[in-house]
Amino acid sequence: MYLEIDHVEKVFPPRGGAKEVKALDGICIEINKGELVTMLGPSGCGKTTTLRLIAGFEFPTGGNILLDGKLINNIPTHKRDMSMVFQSYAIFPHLNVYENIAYGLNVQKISNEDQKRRINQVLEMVHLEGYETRAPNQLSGGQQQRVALARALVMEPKVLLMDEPLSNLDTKLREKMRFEIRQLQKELGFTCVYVTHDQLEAMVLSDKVVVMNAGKIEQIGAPREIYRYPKTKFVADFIGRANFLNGIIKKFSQDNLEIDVEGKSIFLSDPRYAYFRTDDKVDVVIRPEMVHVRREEGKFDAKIIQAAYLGESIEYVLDLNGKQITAHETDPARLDIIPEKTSVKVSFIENCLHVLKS
Amino acid sequence: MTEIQPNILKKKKTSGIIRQIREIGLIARDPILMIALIFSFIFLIIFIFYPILRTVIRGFVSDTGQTDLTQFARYFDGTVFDGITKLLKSAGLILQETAKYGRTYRIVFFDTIKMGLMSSTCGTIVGFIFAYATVRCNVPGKRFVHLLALVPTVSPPFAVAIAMIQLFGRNGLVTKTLLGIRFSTGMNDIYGMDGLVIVQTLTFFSVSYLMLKSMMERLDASMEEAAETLGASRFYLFRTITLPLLIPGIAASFMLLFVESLADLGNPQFISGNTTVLSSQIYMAVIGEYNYQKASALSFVLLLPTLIVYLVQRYYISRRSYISVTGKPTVGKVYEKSNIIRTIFAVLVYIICLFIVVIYLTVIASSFVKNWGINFTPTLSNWTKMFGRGLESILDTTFLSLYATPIAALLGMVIAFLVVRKKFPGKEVLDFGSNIGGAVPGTIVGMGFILTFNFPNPWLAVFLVAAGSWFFITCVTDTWKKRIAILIPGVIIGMVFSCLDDGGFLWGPNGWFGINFQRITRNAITESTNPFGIGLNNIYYIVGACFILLSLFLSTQRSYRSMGKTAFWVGIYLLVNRIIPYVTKPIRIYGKQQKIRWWKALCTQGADYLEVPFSLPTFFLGVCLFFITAMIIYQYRGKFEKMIKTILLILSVMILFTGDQMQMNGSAYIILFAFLVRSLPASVRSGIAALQQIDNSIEEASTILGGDSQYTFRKVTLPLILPALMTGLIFSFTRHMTSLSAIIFLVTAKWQIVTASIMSGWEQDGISYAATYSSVIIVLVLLFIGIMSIVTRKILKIDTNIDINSAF
Repeated sequence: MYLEIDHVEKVFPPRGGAKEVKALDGICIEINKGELVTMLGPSGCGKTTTLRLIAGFEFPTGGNILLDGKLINNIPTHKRDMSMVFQSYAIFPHLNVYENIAYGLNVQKISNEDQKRRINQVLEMVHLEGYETRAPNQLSGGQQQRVALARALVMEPKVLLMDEPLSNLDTKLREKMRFEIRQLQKELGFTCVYVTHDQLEAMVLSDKVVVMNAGKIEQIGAPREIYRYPKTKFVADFIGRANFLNGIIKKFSQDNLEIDVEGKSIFLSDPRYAYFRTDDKVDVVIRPEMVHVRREEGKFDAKIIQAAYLGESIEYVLDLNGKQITAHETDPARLDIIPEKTSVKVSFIENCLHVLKS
Repeated sequence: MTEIQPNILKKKKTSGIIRQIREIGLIARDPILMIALIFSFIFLIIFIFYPILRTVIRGFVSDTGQTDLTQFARYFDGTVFDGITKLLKSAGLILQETAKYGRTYRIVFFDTIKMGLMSSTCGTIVGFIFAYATVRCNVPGKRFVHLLALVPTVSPPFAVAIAMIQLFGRNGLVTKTLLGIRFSTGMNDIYGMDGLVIVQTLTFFSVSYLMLKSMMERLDASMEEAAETLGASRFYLFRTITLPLLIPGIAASFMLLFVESLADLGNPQFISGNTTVLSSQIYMAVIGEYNYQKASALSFVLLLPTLIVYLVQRYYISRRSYISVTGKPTVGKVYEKSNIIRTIFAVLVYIICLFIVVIYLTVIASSFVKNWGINFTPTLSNWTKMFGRGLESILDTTFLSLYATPIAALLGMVIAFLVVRKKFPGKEVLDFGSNIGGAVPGTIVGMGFILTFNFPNPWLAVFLVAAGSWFFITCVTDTWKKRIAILIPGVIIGMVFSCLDDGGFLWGPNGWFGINFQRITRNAITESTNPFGIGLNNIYYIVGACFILLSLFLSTQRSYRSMGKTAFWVGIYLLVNRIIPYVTKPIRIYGKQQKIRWWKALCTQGADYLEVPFSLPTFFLGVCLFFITAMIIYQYRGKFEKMIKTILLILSVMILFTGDQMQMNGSAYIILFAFLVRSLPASVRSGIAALQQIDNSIEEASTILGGDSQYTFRKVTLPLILPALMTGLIFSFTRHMTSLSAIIFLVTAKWQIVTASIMSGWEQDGISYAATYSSVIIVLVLLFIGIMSIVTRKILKIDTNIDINSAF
């Protein structure tokens, strides 16, 4: 355990008529050395607050934060040996690229030669050689982002904190930077806490994803695990897209489940669900890509409400016994669009479904 | 994994107070921040809150120290309240005669209010015309109009009055020479209420102009465009959208002008004729009657409307403002489309501008004329007289203003930084306090300074020692045991050692222990017979030597060498304090033998100026020592830690209790501090405006890269708010050079201030001589602004225009 957040609670005092706000409600996260952990959640869920607590910009009102086995609750920010990449980059506008990166090294009074060596190294890493004397306002957004990253990396921090660092970049650049960050992290092996509201970013980057909602942790797990086996409806809905159908467990034997959904039986086989009992009410999580829409064969009857051509796939919104279901049809052989208001047959890839207790 | 009991299990309700104490604790983790915070608070308390409070209380106390409501009862003399007056009299709460004063007191009061209301109405209207013309009508020569509108803010407080008298007075250029009017008694001349209102309007409209201008610039153009698309006519739109949005600004400007014109002393002294206003009544009470009780009571009366208006403005209007203060001027601009309205506004503005030009030309011209109105022969006699006799006061004023300027600007930036960036209890107080010193009438600050710093003030000293040593121990140690172990011996030994001084709060002939010492030993001690007295000089030598020894000791430890360096310079400073007279004395003697007037003045005054930085009042030096020593030593964990820290506390306490006993009368510092109090709001406000523009994360980035508060402030914040600092510098200097009411009671023969000299001497020297002085002030201020702009553009390479609006 390298960085440990132990039952941390943060209450913001009432201010100017507003009531006091409980931003974090006793959260626990454990982060190993060299891991990249993303904090994912909708805005206001407390992910940035958590990051600011780790950085020491705010202090927890309860619980402990430990770094390398030492309690750091009361250690001021500038003594924590961390560094951070801000959403707004927070490049010092009055210093050039080189001076920006050298800032932290100057605080540590590191000799000029050492500084030069280390700065050249990080500049190479982030592909900014030759930009040393540029002023921040002469840089593009992506370049500023790289400077911010370099400035943080050059410190060789115990933990690198990133607060939605890519959210101000355009889509293409964001995708590129994502991979670069992940690659650098793997190469250098630094521990990193990364805040984002973009689930794709979290998927690409992380060893571990922490999904938060309303000051609480919903689930912690590897990206695949979180997508495939969300623990709550919130996670299922927030990571990717999900349809929910109510069901009742009809039969339960060994690893096999038979679930009654909308009057039809669905069969699942997975040792994970061993805790279900017959007659349990459940929510069946159906990802859009698990839904097959056909004109003739299928288990369920449905009607197409809306059909949209997305290029790589076709999105259907279906009415299944009064319930709305989204389907993504990616089969290239069937790229004809079934028109709206057509009655169709629907079936699910049943072994890929996930079941939650309701 | 180690088992750690999470705090959360200890369920507790944190009350507000505990939380606030905890917030202080968070700040205490960063001693530099703590120093800035406590120092600012102490500054506010001793130089702003306490003096104002002192003035207020003095109004209710007779010269012999009894409660006395006479001054207030006089307002009600001869009214239905006579019964109450009698009752109070029999209760012994009214000690002096109240009869026959009622009418005069009331007339003065209502005249003052009338003058304030009229001036603020007219001033706001003129300000609105200027703002609308420059922002909305885009009048040709906008820049020029803007600059002209700012001229009154950089001129001395009575320049307009002088010019008005020269133009429209009994011997005025326009009235007598051009129109040939012969004034006889009873004729309506420029002197009196109407003249005063005109003068006040012209003097203060720039304030209103700047406020309304920045407000109009922030007005979102899209709102008006939206109304237009909904079919609103121009007039309907103005009535329903533009005006309501501007109402808070108009109200704020009205109130500010009201307060400013009430507080003004310069113009009424020149032009109010038979009408008396409160500020001049106070002036007369101090200068003419030496009646501090009356002056204080009247100051309180003057303070009331000011304070009410200020509070309303701060807590009511500012909340109802629809226009965001933080936003930059909107990109889209709307211009007045109607040509007729544009022409009307342009003509109005040009007329007023022309008038302003004429006024200031008159001021300058009349300084070159023998006897304005009677004899228009050009002459340089006023100027030669000024460069002879008047040179001293000009040098004094310039020196003191310059000296106070960087201090005001820097202190302003620090306070702004604390207010905008940090969370701590009492933040509102800090914000309010830094503003109030400039918002209250200057006469009250002046009165307060006399009442506070003309007499020994042991209680304030005890407060300072308490606050200072509490701060010192929390800063330098972390456990209560250690703190107590340093605090108790430190304070006690410090107090005992202060007997080394012949005077002082405690052991001096009038000091607390001194009196008892006399009683016990039945030995009357005077300054020369204090058995332990070794004189202030020797104390400084000893303390200075202590610091140098400490620095030598620290230098032997490798990791504390830089601490040693700072301690060394503190020691040297203390020694220089007492050595400097040996340098200045020969200069002064040399100066006195000189024949050339300006060279003589330069030498003798220069010697004085050289001494000023090295003659901090001892109580203030003591306060500073608490902070400086804490700053030097707080990280020290080496040999003899406890002992060294205790010694430093002893030295600070000792210095604070010795010497001048907080008496600053006649010294340069009383004027300097009055300057600071008056100019602080401008620099705080420009600092706040600048800081709000800077993203918080830039400073956070610095901290997480390892910089502490002080490093971050120095390396990141300060460079970024440099333009605001420059604005602060300019404003502070201007405010210092032109301030009158706050320092009029504080000037002495040694430290003369130009504005005060004009006030007291213009009737003998003639109004042309006053105009000469005024011209000099204007020239000096403009010169300073010019130099600062060049420095900003050329040396600091800052490209932005200095945003003067932010200081309002």
